[in-house]
Amino acid sequence: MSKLRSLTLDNPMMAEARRLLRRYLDFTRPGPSKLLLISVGLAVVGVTMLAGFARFSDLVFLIMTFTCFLAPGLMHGAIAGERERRTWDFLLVAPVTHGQIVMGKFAGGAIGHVLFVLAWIPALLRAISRSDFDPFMGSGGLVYYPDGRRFEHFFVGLFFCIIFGWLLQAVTLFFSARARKSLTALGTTIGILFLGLFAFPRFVSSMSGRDDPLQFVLNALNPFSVIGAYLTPYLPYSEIDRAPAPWLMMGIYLAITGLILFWTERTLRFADNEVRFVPEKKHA
Amino acid sequence: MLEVKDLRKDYAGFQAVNGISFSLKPGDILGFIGANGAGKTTTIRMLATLLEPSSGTATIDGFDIVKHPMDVRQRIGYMPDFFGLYDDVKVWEYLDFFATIHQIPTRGRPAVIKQALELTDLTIKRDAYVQTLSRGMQQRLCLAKCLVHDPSLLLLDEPASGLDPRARAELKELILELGRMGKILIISSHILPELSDFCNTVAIIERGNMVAFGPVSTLLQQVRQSREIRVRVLDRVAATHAALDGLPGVIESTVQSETELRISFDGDDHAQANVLKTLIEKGLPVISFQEAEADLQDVFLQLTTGAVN
Repeated sequence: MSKLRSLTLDNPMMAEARRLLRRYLDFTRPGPSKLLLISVGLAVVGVTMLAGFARFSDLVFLIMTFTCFLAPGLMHGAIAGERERRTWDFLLVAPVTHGQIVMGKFAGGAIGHVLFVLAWIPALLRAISRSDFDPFMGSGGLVYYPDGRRFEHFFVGLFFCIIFGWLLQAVTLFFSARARKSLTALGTTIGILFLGLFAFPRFVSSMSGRDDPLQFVLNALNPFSVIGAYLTPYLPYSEIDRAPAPWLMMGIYLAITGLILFWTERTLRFADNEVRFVPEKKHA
Repeated sequence: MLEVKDLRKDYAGFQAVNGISFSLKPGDILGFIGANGAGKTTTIRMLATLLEPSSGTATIDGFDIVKHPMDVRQRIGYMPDFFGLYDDVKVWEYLDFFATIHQIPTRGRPAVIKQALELTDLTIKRDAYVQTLSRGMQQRLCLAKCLVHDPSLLLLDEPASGLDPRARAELKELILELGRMGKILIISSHILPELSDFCNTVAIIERGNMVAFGPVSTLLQQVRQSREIRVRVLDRVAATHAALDGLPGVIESTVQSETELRISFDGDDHAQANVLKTLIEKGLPVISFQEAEADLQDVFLQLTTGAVN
């Protein structure tokens, strides 16, 4: 319990979160990060205005797609960037553990991601409260939401976006801890996302049928499939109607996030001039 | 108090640091001298708990660098030879961040930051962005960062590199002030004449071995068995040369030019005063009579062979 407390409430590295928020949310500061903030802000406002015509599930997909780029973007320099700037040693000689450094770095990005997802609430609310008739579905006028499940869909969609982002951030942080250059961490994460979410599923889909057990496993591995199967179970064209429940997958994602953070902490065994992918000796 | 005992660092195939031992007390300013690759930075990084020694250890205020690294980190300030600063943060925010991770209570932080800024003469830059500071100011900011938690040992690796003469002079004053405050400073540098200005102790390291350690004055005496005195006269250099012959302490005198002689001397201060008195009494036109002081460079060149790892 005290270990958990030292990693969270009593973790001095939580100052990282304050530093990150100050960097991205203080408009008086110079720097390219303002451009990112303005772009996200405009996207949120624009989508909110159009949300009355959009399907809730598409909006969730949109947020998750943004997350695929934003989460690695926020986290890729967390540790590799410290090495590039030659500030890493300053953290290693501070009286904080590696676990506290990793948790502090992760918390900074995680809080930023939560704020990003929360910014979409107006758009999500507009989409979820629209009439059941779907203008984009042609003459069908499909029943979009089963009765009484709008709130459930709303919260599942919201939390799924948050937890999916945390998972991506943990993966990026892991590569950031392993890489010399922050761009390497960014490229590796986005490369893995591309392979895992697009190239590999396409390849396997072409080799297997819809009812193939392999397809189910693939859907389970793909967060877009999991949330898609949950939010659009009644769409006739859906190819992703067989996937585990999102609550289950959120639990699994959180567990994987924890494991990756633990592994990240275990890899921090070297100082900035001793970066090795497989550390041979125990340092720093 | 810093105690280093038989500190050793082996890498595959060679010894970077080969069992060095020394101790320092509060107020000591140690100049750590050695060629590139001699083992200075490795030693400093071991003391900073960034590298684990292969054997041996060091204690800072009784805390072992291997067994109690967290306690040691509360007591050290480390400034690497190359360092960077965070982008887009103000000077006070930068110090506030490091004060936070050194677990200084929120209420005490403003006072600590103010003190560090005053000491490093950066108060006027409190709200400036760190990337707008000059190299010298960034160096001082890094030093301020090292001071926010009031460490007892400061490890400064090449702190004067890349600084202009004015910034170096300011840094020198700051280091002397820190020594007066009772902090132990270990400073590695290649700029030997400057080190002798503010270091009271010197350690010379070559190929991982400590070849000399002690007060600057003691090392200077060790390398120079006899003193050298330079005498300048208006004229009559030959008469001066003759007058020096046979005086107590004078080993040999040589004429350097029409107005200058050099005396090799092994007498004490009284004998030296007597030589000057004799020259004056004989009516010789002495302009200056000065002992040529050995410097750290002489010590370094004499005690090292130039071999590197």
